[in-house]
Amino acid sequence: MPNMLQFTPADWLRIERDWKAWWAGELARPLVVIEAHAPGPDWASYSEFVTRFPPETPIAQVLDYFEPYLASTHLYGDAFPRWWPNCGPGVAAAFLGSDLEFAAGTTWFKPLNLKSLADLQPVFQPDNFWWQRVQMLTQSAVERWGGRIVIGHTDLGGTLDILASLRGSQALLLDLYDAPQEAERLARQINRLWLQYYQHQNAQVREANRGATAGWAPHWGPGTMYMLQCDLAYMISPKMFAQFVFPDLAECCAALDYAFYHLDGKGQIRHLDQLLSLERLRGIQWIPGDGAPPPEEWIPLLKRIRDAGKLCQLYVTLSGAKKIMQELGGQGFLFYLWGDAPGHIALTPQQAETVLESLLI
Amino acid sequence: MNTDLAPIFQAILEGDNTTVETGVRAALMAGFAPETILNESMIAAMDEVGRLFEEGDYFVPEMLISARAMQTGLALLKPALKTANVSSIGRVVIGTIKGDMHDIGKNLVAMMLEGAGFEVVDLGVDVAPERFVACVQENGAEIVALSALLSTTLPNMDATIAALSAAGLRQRVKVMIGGAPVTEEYARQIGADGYSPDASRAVALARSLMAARFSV
Repeated sequence: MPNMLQFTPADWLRIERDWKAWWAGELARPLVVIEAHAPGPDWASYSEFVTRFPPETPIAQVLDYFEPYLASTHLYGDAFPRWWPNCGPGVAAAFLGSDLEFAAGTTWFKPLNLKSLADLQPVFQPDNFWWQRVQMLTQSAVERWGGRIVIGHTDLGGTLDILASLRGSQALLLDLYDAPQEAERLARQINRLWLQYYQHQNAQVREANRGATAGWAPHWGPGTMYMLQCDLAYMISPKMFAQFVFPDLAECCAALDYAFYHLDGKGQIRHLDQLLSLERLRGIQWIPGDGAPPPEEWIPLLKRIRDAGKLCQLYVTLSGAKKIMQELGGQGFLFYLWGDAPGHIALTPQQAETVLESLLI
Repeated sequence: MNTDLAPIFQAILEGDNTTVETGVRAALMAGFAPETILNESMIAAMDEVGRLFEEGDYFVPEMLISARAMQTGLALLKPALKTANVSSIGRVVIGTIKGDMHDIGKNLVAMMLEGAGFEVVDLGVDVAPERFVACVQENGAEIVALSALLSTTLPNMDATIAALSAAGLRQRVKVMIGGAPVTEEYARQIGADGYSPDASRAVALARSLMAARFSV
């Protein structure tokens, strides 16, 4: 099977055909994505965060680091070659002035020192270091890998999550009570900026001429797409979700051809009806979360998603995918397959062959 | 509950700082014992907040504003409690483990424990095992509460328990753990004394750990 740097025009034609059919609800089988790790580079020390490098590191040197990993990632099923500048979850907070700090395995965003929510006036800062850095990484990646690899968007984050990074999550949760109008104003304002960042980056990634990917999520689409999210929603009521989150999600869905929602954790299930009511939302990515039963143990939830006419993406093991297919059929699902071992280790090419054969895709 | 204390109870449920403040002042002026005010209005209210959270009627913001209102009242009540020699029901050292900067869950547990009458020493986030050890040695805590959101940092819960053992403190303190990736099974696996899935049930767990401590 090809690695990420060996995809041929014929491979791309297959990807485009099957993914378009899946989006249209016309693919009878599920999509199955396997990104197998072949021996070669030091996978144990691998980190996809570009923030692992000091900020002054030349862009070419950052991209050089990823080359051997791309060459050792073998693609099976409906997987396609992709790369995206990972500066951490919700980097738009850094575009708006939050300090970014890399720590082992993640990136933190420090809240601004604000006395009140009213002090926050987010504006587009074209010279912001991280905005510039993301644009340069994206542009260089398009120039280096364009045509072969789809270059994804950076992880902008969800509107309210970005606001939480700027304000501090706990302070914002109190603000939702103490200053709801301010919170709404800022959510609307940040959402407009989000769309501005998105559209600017979209113009860059389109130059790679290989459609679009949601960045960190394994979706491909022929038009504008993104994995929308609001992790803060885990903690709030459906009433607050309707007031502070839903309008911005609706606005983003209206602006995107292929919008998905990252439903992260059981605390977000209470918002599912609102999400399913978004006509232009194409699907739900369900993440039960560490410590919770795996996706195949949530059949009624998955059925609700499918019965509402939405697509569904899951990170599953082979046995998990089989159980779901047995219970609900595979149509409309996108399975990202990984190993059974703790820590969700990527499959090896040999394991990937066996898994695909077993699924008869 | 005495009807004169009912406004404090209700105001805590509604997160109404101002009414809590005036209510506590009025109750003290009326001659209520500080312990009565604490137990019958404030702790009772926070118990009710916990119940509402477990029932799915309250969410994190509602808990936060209630806890904030309770703390407003507690700040007013503390001097009177001290004068009356009312002691806390237990001392808890709490923190988010090393490598993890998430604090909302930990803060909620701390506030709920305080609202239940515990004395809480909050070490903040990204707390190294040796800091927990030093704090237990310094404060003579009966319970250590460890929080984590990132599964990658979970081994530091294990490391903290090991550090408490190495310092000869493990027999003296109970260890409770919580956070999204934490499970009952993981608690057993690392030798913690208890696990709580949320802030409300953390209070019940801490109470039971204190009871177990005294029954040994």
